[in-house]
Amino acid sequence: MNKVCVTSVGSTKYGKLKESIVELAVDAASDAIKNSKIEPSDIQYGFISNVFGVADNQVHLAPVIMSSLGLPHVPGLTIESACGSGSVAFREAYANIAAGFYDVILVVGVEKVTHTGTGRSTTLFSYCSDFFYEGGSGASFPGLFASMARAYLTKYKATEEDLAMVAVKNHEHGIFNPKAHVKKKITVEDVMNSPEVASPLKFLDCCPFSDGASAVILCTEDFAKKHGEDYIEVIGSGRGASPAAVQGREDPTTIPSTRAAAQQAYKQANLTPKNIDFAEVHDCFTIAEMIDIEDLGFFDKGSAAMAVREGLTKLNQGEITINPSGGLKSKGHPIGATGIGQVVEVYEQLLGKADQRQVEDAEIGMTHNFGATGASCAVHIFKRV
Amino acid sequence: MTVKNKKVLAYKCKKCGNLQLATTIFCNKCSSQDLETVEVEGKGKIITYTIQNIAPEEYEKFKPYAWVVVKLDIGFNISGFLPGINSPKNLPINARVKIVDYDERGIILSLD
Ligand SMILES: [Zn+2]
Repeated sequence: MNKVCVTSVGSTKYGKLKESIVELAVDAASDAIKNSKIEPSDIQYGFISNVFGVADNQVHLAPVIMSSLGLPHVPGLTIESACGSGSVAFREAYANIAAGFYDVILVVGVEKVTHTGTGRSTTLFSYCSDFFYEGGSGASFPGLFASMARAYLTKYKATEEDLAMVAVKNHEHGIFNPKAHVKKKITVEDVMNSPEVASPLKFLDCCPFSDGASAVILCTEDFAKKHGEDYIEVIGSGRGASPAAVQGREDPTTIPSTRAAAQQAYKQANLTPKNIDFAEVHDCFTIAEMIDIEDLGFFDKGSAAMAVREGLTKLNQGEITINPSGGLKSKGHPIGATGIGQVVEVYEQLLGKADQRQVEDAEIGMTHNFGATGASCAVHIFKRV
Repeated sequence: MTVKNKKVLAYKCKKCGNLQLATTIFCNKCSSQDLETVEVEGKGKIITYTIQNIAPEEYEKFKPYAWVVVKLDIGFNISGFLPGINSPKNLPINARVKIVDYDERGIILSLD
């Protein structure tokens, strides 16, 4: 297998944005190209991760975006894997370069939903569930994670206040991210007093609906060396799957796809959870981050609440910095872009470009991103070169 | 369709004996294709749930309700719609429930 590197990144701000889905994607992609010594003509393939193109009247996104970039003859492919679309697209690009099919691939994640309003967005997101059993029985997306939260709080020594602390921490990190959607310090009381969305989850336990786009350029090590000094190496890549519906899982307090993907990535990188300096994890809801940091092996099962309470996941203060970008919770969650946005953060961190949110001595970073309630998942490990 | 006359349509694996919903085509334990259709009792206990304070658009009119995950006495899980629940105080984990109907809201349950 060829070594695979990330040689440039670009991103729009995340939030309620006025640009169209194509304009957002093109902004992020041109940002990534202009930030590098790569010529547009070097790009051999484009992977586009997106879920709700139809909400902005555009499907068949890949050729439209490649044409808008002035690359109408470069083939593209749109990939959908719910909220995990970005990491799954990244994985496909990684595999194509590792296998020697291509030398340079552009991956752009994009989403545009906020113009549809909260009611319509809630319905759209419910289509990411196993709709026959979940969305079609009145479960919203927060509702599904709320059911996981209730199971977790019943099984382990954890409280709704512990969940709130995840939100407080990620908002503290997001303050330092110029591209974050919600840059606002919040307290445990703010979370506890915010309206219930799906009990036991409250409004401030949930990430926002966001628009935005992020782009990365992957290439072979040879190409990276010839075209610029600023690159990081992908040293582990894993994919996992879980029963699509929550009802199909033996234990709703763990996500099998995360464990499987992480195990593969650790094995390939020849590392253990102790070697990871920081991780961007999928915190669509506060409970998700608690489950993630256990499933990724950073903390024992049932001990995430203790870790959060003791500040062990705060920027440069504990054992491992979790979500230095602010995570989905504060940075925002444009679902097709999220997994790519995580790679953008890891790139900036490993190259020491993260300013006030810089993780000290960051050498090894991880991204973890899943679709829906974890039916699909990809985990990647990156190394400073 | 997963429910008929308040019973759940299931597949029983002739090779390993596993029971699963009849909407999964091969055995999800041993991958055997040799399955027989059986009807199992629609009774069990709540393993987890949520109360949808904000519901998807078409379900707003059905509030209050809980979306519940139920472990059937027969062994596998289902999920469904439990009307009339407005507070966790009214629905302890492990509460007994039974299937009473099947309509556009999916499997309809009630406290047993
Ligand atoms: Zn079997």
